[in-house]
Amino acid sequence: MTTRGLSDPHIDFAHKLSSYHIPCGVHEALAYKKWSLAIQEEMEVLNRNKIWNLILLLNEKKIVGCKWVFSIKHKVDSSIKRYKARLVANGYTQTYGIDYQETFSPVAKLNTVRVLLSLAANLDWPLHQFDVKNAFLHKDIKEEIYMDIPSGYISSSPGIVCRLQRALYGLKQLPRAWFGRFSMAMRKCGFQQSNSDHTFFLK
Amino acid sequence: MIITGDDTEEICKLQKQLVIDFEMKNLGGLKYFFGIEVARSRRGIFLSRRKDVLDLLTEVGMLDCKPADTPIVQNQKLG
Repeated sequence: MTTRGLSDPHIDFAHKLSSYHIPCGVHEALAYKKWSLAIQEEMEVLNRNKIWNLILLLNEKKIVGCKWVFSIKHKVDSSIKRYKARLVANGYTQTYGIDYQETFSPVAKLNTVRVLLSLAANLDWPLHQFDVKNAFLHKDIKEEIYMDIPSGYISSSPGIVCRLQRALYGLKQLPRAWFGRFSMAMRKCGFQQSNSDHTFFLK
Repeated sequence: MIITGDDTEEICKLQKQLVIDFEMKNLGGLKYFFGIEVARSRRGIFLSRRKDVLDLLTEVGMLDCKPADTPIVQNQKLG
């Protein structure tokens, strides 16, 4: 990385960002306490939400792979906020029509956000921000999806796979499924979805 | 997710409903959304994409690039 032409605080910021090491694989991660803790934390969430059942796969079925992804969450000043491990399904091994159907899901438009903020500024409205923890885990899935047992954590005997009961990160249908569920909840609360931006709800 | 409006009671109601439906946490006032830092004072709202841009530049390894006023070569002869 080169930092030529940057101001001192920015050089500092860039160096801080690139000085943290992020493990590539689960075996490397398990060697560090902070990363194993992060893995444990994620496993607890997955178990608590009953994402899968372990079953013995008898007949030939398509199995989706999975992997651990590690990241460091930074605060705005680039100091460490938390170590995060996430189990993701390898969505790219899914086949359209077999283990997923539609995938499109809208994303908030920046223009809408700006209009909203300017309204809040001019009319002196309070602004609140909410975050849904593990947004993707909330939708029960319709399709039959089988996934490999996460590596490095559960000791696996041959033939045992995870039958997904709920949606996991990385699955093709996830963003769409989550958004469908969210907009349903908003409509239940009496909100109307805007026609010009589907991620904008009004009441 | 950003929530705003002039009806505090309604905001509270929505918040309660969403907490029931989803595992949700309130991040309090809006500080950071979509890569945009938000600062608020009585006189207005200030938006900054500093972190967003720095993260992007780090990702593509272009931290040493120069800022440009015009995103094209100047005085270029066309044809």
